[in-house]
Amino acid sequence: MKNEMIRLENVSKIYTLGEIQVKALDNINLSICEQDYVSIMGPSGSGKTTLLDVMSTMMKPTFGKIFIEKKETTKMSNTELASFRGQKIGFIFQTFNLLPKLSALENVMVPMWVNNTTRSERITNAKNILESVGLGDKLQNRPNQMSGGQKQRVAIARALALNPNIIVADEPTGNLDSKSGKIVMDILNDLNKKDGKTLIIVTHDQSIGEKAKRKIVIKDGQILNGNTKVCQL
Amino acid sequence: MLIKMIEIIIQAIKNLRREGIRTILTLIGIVIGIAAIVSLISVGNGLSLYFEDQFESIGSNSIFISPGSAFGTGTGSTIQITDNDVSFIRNLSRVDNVVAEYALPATIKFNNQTKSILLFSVDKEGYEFFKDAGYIEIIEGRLIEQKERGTIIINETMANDLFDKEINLRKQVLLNNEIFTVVGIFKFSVNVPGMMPGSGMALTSLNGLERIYNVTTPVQLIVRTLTIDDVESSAQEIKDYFEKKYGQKSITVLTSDQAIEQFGSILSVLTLVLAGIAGISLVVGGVGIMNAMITSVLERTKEIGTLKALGASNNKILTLFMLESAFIGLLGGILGSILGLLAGSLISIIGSQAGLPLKISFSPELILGALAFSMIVGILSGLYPAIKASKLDPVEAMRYE
Amino acid sequence: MIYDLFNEAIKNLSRSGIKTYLTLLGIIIGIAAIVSLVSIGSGLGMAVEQQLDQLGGKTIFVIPGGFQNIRIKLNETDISNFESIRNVESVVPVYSTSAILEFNGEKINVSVNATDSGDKTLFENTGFFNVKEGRDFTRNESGSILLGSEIAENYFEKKIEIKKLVKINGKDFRVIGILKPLPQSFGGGPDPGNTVLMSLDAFKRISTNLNPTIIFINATDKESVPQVVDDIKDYSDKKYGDKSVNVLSSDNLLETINSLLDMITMFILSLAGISLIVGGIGIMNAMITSVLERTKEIGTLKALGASNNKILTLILIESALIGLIGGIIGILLGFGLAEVIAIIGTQSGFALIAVKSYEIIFGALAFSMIIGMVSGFYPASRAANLDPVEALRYE
Repeated sequence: MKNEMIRLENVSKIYTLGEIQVKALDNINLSICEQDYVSIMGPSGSGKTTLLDVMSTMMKPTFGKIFIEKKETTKMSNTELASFRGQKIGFIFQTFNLLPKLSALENVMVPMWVNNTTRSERITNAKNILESVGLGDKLQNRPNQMSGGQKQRVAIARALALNPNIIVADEPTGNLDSKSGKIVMDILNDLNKKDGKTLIIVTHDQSIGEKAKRKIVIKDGQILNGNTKVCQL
Repeated sequence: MLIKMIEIIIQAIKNLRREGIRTILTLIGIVIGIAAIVSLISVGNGLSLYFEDQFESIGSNSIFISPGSAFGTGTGSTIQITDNDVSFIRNLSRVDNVVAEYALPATIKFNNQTKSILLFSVDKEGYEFFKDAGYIEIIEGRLIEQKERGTIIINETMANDLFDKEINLRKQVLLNNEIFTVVGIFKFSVNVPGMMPGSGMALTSLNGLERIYNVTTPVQLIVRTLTIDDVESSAQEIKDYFEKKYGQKSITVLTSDQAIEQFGSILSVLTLVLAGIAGISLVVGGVGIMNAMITSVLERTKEIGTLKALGASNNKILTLFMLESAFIGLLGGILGSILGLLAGSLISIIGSQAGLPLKISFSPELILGALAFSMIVGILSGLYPAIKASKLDPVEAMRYE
Repeated sequence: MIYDLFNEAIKNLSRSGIKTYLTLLGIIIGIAAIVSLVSIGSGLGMAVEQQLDQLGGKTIFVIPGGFQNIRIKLNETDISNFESIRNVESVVPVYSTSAILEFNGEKINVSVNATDSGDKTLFENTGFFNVKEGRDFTRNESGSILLGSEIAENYFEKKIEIKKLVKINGKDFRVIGILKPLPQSFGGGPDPGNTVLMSLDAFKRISTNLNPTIIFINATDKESVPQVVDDIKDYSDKKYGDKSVNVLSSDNLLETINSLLDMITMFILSLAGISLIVGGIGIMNAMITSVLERTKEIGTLKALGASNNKILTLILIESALIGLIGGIIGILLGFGLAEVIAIIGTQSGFALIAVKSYEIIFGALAFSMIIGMVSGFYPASRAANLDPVEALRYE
């Protein structure tokens, strides 16, 4: 039995639009364990994005509790949570979301702002990570000097900056051509298989979703395939 | 054509409303600048008018004579105008009357409080003239007699406001440690030049003045000629007389026109300089408009591309943006003028409480000028961004991200 | 950590191009206006101080009858009494009258000042009367005068030169020297440039008014001035009554003049300050726009672990930087402008100095940074409170 990484307990998210109430997530109970490779799929409007947001603590649920590495995040203050999240979870977005005026190296160093490391330590660290994703030669390039695939790889490097155990990716290949998409997926795969990171990917692309070891399907705010494992506590 | 213009204007207004707080902030710059300028100039104008009134109420056939050369370009001590000098002037053929004014600062003690006031006196003939012309209105008691040596009349402000206790008739005060009795309370029925309203004034006879002052020489002579046409020539005669007797630069002789002019020009220069300094903020405001317009152009790049694709010419785009910035300027000017008038009125109210003659003058020219100015600032600031907008390539613009 | 924020802030500022420059321009104009005004204003104050410093700070001005010529005549007895006051070095009474100066057929009214040239060095010690050309008096020169340069050069058609003869109230006098004018005589006494100076013996030839109009008293040193002032006041109050004699030390004078100058400068400064307020509003506007444009970025930063406070700090640093840089350039521009004004002024006859002190620099820098931060606060809190999820998805 593996360690529990993420747990959702009776989580619901309700939006109020004027007089109408929309239940984006309906009483979800879910556990994700160490080294899991999870894909979350569902039609648009199913709540998969909301599920990702809540699971990654970017958004607070209306009801229920969230535990990341067994700590209850729904109780934390915003400042605490921001710092906690930054260290525990690495994010990868469909639109890369790199800071446009910083070089690749500097982008990867951004999460390290919270550390007490020296600047040269950070530079070395960032360099290593970028080399590991094959971008050792693009350290000084700005985002507008890179292709989509390269940008996403910088984003992955950034997500790895503080060596988190959990990686969350929202449509990571959505804006990439098939060749770059494959390169990115290979890297993500390695992160899970070789480095033992817990990987959660939200996607609408069947071919990508299939590759995951655990497939969660969500529709109308509820998890369909009831794949709620229980990890070792 | 006109309809097109109106459409563009409506479009411009809609665009501005969209921006919300940013438009407001952009506007505030112009509003503040215009308000400062409008309030300063209207206060300045008001002051100028006030002093003009003062001089005119005495009559425009007046000549003002004071020892020394005007406005401090002169020497240390000044000549002393003698009774003979005054008689000479009185005897001039075209001179109607002469009032010799004496004014000296004095300390007045009443009810254990000591204050400083200006003590006035007028020579005998002048006094008769004052009385007959009704310049002094007695509210209580009586006028002083020139032969008296220990009486004074005081104005309402001094009677009621200067000391904690009111000064009533027949009370005694100490002027420079000499005892004087109050025999009357008066007010001036005209604006006498040189006398500030709202301050405490006491009038005594020349004899009374001599009890406390060493040398009594008039600070000013006010001469009335028979007709307005006599003013210039009489002024010249008087000037020649004094300069022959005492030398050049010994006397200042000003007809009321000259006095108004000199005063007016000094005041105008002062007001303009101050308004200019306040106006620097308009320049800064204009810079702000330019910045806002550039942002606006950037944000609406796609929109502009689309407009062009739909057939809008470069000139139309230019006009659209220029109108927007002109409108910002105009709107700022309107709001600023209103604010400025309010501020100016406030200043004049506060001023009159403090006894200063701060009237306000709202001239339509000022407002129109302010509006025009603010529009020009708007147009100039919007020029560069508007040109940029008009030159955008439609294809690139539509694909802008 | 702060360094990183700074780095990010600087990079963001250098991105916006013309918009940042325009925002900067607003602050630059405002600061330049204020700095140049303060610079000239301080210069005026300094000129007055310099003038009074010439007197060595030991001089006390005694004006009988206050400024209003009240019926008080100080006489020989009073003068000796003043001389015997403790710590008094010298007493120089000055007599004045107005008289007619005739030269080359023209008659002009002038003011004449005289002192007992029994000890001519006393005269020079007052610091007011300095000979520019020619020479000073020696004893008993009842036929010589010193002429103020304004009178010599500008009053009459022809210039009056040294050794020339003039008539004063009909009596002959010879000009032996020309007096230097003082750049601004702020009511500290007669303006030597516009006056005629002579010995008491000479004065007796043209006037019978032998009560001094002003008495210069020099204390032995600066520290004893307050005591001497008190003693003089006690004596005069007792003999002639309260406030009958005005006693002013040069410090008093400096104070009065300075406070007047300060008031005027403050008023003008607040007018100029309006432009700074407008500039600050410009910063606020620009920062709001900047925050809006970087919504996605800010969302990303939050996702990466930046707390609300860090975002707040980042934006505040940016606006403070705008204020700071604008302030630096504004100060340079302002000093330059002040120099130009000073040069133009001095050409036209006003001795203007452009003061460039550390106080002005620090004050302006602090002020501009504060404006930057205050203006940036609202946009910064807008940025800090952005919801990360919405911000990330912003389009």
